[in-house]
Amino acid sequence: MVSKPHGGKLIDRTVSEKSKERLMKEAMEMERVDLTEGLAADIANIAHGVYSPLEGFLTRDDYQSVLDQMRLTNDLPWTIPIILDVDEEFKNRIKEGDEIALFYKDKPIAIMRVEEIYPWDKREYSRKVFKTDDINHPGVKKTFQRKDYLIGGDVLQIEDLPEPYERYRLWPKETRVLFLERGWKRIAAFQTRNVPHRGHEYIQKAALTFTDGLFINPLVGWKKPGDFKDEVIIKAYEALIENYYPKGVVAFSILRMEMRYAGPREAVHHAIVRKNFGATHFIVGRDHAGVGNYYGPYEAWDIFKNFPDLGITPLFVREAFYCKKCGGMVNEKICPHPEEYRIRISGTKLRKMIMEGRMPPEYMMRPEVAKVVLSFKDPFVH
Amino acid sequence: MESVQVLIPKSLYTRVEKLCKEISCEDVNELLVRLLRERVSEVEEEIFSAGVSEEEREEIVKRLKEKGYL
Ligand SMILES: [Zn+2]
Repeated sequence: MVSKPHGGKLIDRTVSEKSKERLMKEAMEMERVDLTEGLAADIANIAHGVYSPLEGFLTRDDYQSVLDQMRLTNDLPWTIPIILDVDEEFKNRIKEGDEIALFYKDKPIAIMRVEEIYPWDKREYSRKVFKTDDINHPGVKKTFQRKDYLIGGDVLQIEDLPEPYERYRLWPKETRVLFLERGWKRIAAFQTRNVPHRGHEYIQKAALTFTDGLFINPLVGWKKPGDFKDEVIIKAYEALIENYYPKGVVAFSILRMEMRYAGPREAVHHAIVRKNFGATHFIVGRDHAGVGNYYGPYEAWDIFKNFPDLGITPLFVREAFYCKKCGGMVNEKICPHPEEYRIRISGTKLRKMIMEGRMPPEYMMRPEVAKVVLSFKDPFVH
Repeated sequence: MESVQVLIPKSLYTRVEKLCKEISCEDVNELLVRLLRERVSEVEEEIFSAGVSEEEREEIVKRLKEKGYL
């Protein structure tokens, strides 16, 4: 069986074609908030059940409970607050109970019922979510750039965002049907924001060996400078799947969601989201969703001890490397040989090679994948 | 975290207490909460259904075929 949605029910806050036009007109009369790309993506994720059981942005009690307990007030595990920030001037124009329109790129995409307006402490948020308030942390930096008040309440999405990679956009309802149609009962989900190297492939295949299907679900949307561009990641995976996976064992779709770089908390968030897509297992790498040296290498594994009721099984997979003596990709647990035989795949080294237009060796990256990546003039986010 | 008191049979408490020592867990209360959460989420998942209607399923299958997934 595919996983049940988090909280038991897949949330649907979209509207029928019929009511779209009416709501669009109504929205034009309301006070309006202009959304960032990340917030617009959050709304789509709420509307399509990616964030089930959330039906909107967190109200104060839930916000505080997520910060303090890593659970919603209804006791369900939830680690990253999903919040909408507004400035003081806007706050003064609305009151609790109002309906407001949420605009993206000058179009109303959702209507929100304002349940609560409250101030937030960005330093507290940063310390609890990111475990630091160091402004050099990309998540902290973004947090401090946000506005000073939060509004909580349910949202109703009027229209989906245009998606440049529409062919690869699947919502939880669709992946659930897909898994069912393919007869998959055990599904391992793989989160990524990278082009695949041999280490990733090894980890995916290790998980696939004892499950029925592999769900590769890269994040697209805002990332920090130096990360790979969305298109590069998608094309690289196309090459990998085409050349190195049997037909019918991989489901590849994208998820438009901002990276928060919140390490352990974000690992749990990533797992919950994939549970909503129907996955039964979730691959958690070393330093999952980490950045710099803010998190210990295994913190993202330890945090799962707090959630026996998560409803998706985390798979803690060790870092893979090439061993000259074993003659293949292995990991710490299965290779007895000393360091001198081991060749580590370093993301930094790979990035440097790609920047210089050099072909990485085959033990680091499949040539078909490398060729695709190198075909881009500038594969990195700036 | 805000708490409430519940009554459970003494014999059950003793049993859990014993189990707690066995697995070198430090706090009986913590173990109880953990066990309860595990079981409650299982029961919830059995009760709530996430199914889509047959009509909706057919529509989704069609879309998945168009996109090349099926
Ligand atoms: Zn070896």
